[in-house]
Amino acid sequence: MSNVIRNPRNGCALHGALQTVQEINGVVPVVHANAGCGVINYLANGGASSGTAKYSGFSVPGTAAQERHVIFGGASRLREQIKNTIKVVNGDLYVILNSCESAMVGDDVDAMTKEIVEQGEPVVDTLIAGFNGGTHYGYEHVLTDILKSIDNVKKSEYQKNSKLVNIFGIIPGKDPYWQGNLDEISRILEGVGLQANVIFGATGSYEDLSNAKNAALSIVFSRWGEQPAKLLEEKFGIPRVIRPSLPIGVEGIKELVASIKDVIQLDEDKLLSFIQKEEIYEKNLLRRVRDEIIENGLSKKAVIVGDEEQVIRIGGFLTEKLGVEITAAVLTDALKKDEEHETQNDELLKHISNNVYKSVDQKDINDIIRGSKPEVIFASALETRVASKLDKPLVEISYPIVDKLIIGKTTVGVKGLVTIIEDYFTVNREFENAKRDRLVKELKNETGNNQWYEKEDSYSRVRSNKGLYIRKQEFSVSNG
Amino acid sequence: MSFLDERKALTREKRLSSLSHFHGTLEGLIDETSGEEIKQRVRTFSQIHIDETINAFEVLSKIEDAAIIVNGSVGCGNIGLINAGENFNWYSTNLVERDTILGGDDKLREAVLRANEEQHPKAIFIIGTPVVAINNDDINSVILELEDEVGVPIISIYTDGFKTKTPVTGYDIVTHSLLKYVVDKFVEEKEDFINIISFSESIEDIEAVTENFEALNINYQVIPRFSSIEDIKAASRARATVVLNPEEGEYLAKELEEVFNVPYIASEAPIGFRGTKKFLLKLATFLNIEDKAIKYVDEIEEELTKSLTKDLLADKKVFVDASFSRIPAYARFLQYLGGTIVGIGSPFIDLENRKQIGKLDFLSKGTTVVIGNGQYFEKANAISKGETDLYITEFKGGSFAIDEGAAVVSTNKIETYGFKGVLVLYDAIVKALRFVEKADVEESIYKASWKRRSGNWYVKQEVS
Repeated sequence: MSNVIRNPRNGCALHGALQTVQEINGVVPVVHANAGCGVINYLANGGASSGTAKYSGFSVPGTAAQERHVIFGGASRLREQIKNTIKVVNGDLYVILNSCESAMVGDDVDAMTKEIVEQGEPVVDTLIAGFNGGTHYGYEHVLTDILKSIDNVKKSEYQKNSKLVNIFGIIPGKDPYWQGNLDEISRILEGVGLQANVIFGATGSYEDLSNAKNAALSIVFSRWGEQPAKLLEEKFGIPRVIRPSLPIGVEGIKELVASIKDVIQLDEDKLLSFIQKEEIYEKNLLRRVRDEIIENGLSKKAVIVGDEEQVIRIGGFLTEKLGVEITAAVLTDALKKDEEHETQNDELLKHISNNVYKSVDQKDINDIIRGSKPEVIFASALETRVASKLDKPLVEISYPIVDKLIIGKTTVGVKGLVTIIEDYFTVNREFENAKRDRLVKELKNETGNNQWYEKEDSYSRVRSNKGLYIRKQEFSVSNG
Repeated sequence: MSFLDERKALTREKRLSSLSHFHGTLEGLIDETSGEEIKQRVRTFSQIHIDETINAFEVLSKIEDAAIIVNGSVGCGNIGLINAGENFNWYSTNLVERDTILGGDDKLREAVLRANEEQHPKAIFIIGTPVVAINNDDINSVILELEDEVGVPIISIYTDGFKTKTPVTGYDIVTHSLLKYVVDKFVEEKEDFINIISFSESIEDIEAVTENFEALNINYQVIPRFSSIEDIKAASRARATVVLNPEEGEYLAKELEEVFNVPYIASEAPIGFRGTKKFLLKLATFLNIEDKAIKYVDEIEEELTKSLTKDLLADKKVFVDASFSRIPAYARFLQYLGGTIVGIGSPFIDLENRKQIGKLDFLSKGTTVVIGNGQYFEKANAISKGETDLYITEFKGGSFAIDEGAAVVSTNKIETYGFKGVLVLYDAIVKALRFVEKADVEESIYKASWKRRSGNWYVKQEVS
């Protein structure tokens, strides 16, 4: 596999750390890097809109390191920035994020953090540099680093809560539906008598970080949540449940609950009643769309592209519930060699597809899609082009999803199952309608003089009245 | 003297003494910029902002037949996602820790070959990033080695992300490379079209200007944004050049004039009625179609004035945050609508911007001025202190001003250029005033103690 990446969809470790930290209420990220490093993450995520956090984009404090800091070191600039951030920006916890430059220059970030912590300020840091890994790595490591140090800077009581469950492995932004998915996990856990410690988003906060040590259990929903859960197990004896994916549908919920029951006791009556309600709801909805599935032929051959967790969850649902045949699956978060994680999902993936690939390179992905002859593609906005070339519908399920505002929708649990069916049906119907329109136009073409063509580019070119090229957006019509 | 003699473009600080750190009054700014150079300053607290690598990537990514390689860590290459969903491919050399020790030349070689084979581009651009600059990777030897094999120009864009505080330097670096390696050097005859230079305008803004060209039967090509390598090559054959935003495109226009004898018709940005009128009439005078242009403009003026309510902003205090070249046009228009400009913000100012400062003589000398890329904390300070009613911004993420008590107009996704832009902007103001009545005001992310302080607290004289 090539080292070079065409159309990289994953950012660096700094990006992962930044988009993780900025989604925790009360936490202020401080980026020690040149001015644009953090902004790239903001702009890259900008098309895939799930709104913006309070401390994100141009509001993020950062050292905006200059040449002199590269030559002479940027530690003193960092010291100045931390001190002044505390004076300017309201925050309950400040997290210093490191970068390629500061790692290459060798700035002593730890010493600067220690100095300010000694003054009683709530500051922690992470030393991972951009080139140490991707977004997923950044999420996992910054979370682990914060949990390692939080007790030193935010004193809180150690008081076990037998209902509290830490949630790890859902990466804000990287999972386009992260907020809705956290909400749905919370709803499910609440339904079976537990309480989710979500940390991120609308219902989470910095306090959840301190509270994580009091949990009865940590649930890890993708390999990228293993490290923080492992740390809490080693430090506070909190058991871990490692799941291959977030749950989808009642079956998924049942499997999740069974694995929780292996570790902690649940109220059986409450559990049964909750599952029963979910079952009735799911059955009813699946019954309602049966005709649509049959009439629209939704049991198609498909390719799925996304993070391993998404492929397992959504791919599994498509095959098990809709009769979709996954001709190929591409994992976009897999490492060539993963020595850090215990998760091993090869067997599970084999059940989803006989052809499972690992790649983030657009050429590889396009070639796999072409070679798999799908009728429908479940992937990201980066597959728009190949889908259009193959003239197949594209259901966007993985990062990046663009031109859609996703702030509360979920693709998890019974509600998530509904989202996926709705999206699949809508895309398929729009695709068929467009095809029908095209056929009508073609028919008119054959009978009239209008000749239609569609240029591959977003901006096609037509001749101006003077014979020079100018640009027009969208389609162009040529009258002969 | 042409700057093309230099191996690479000078930073805006070196070429035009640009300043990105200032917080004071208009009077102070006039004073600051009146000498032969502008004193540099720094901020001891700052917020992250665009750098020149982002600007360079942004404009190059809109050249339809160019291939782009971001030579750096995978995160730097992630910038390509700004075009996700479009018909656009780009490459990252995906440098990892090992490459920062041993160098990333092999990966760059591989990227060039792949880009050529897969995209069949007319030119390949390699964008530099901090990792490569610190590592001092030898880009040129890779270019020399592969140029013959590849058969199209391979052009190094000497960005690094930390040598300039003025991101517009990214456009200068691209300009320098295009002039040096792409634009046709030997032109026998000029052709009947005008270069319209655009670096950052949206397709809608460009269309709002070019519709006037079409109405007046003026042939044109837009470069470098939304162009092709052939269009850029042809730039030296144009009859003249106009620029949509002088502080971004003037460098290219002036060099085309000096080196390739393409006259530059300097004007202000075609924003607002007066700005657009001046822009078109200057060009029309050059083309000897003044009468036709005056007739056209008069007709539009009559229509436009019917649609505007002059007291829309009566008693409203306004803060305008925009590229400095566009500030006079915005300020004039907002004042026309009855508003009082109490503050202006801009990413940078350089010696060339003195032209625009001169055009702000209708503003109070005590008007607050914040010069800085982003730096919303200082703008929050100014907006809250000045009890500003309306914050109008060209930049992303302006909603912070709602928490400081102002209505927010964002021109980020609307067209503001041309005659059309006048109505669009007017409409955006109406919507903003409507929304602010309903919007939830949250606690500011900035401490009250900061907002009581002098806004220039963290701006210090640079000590070299």
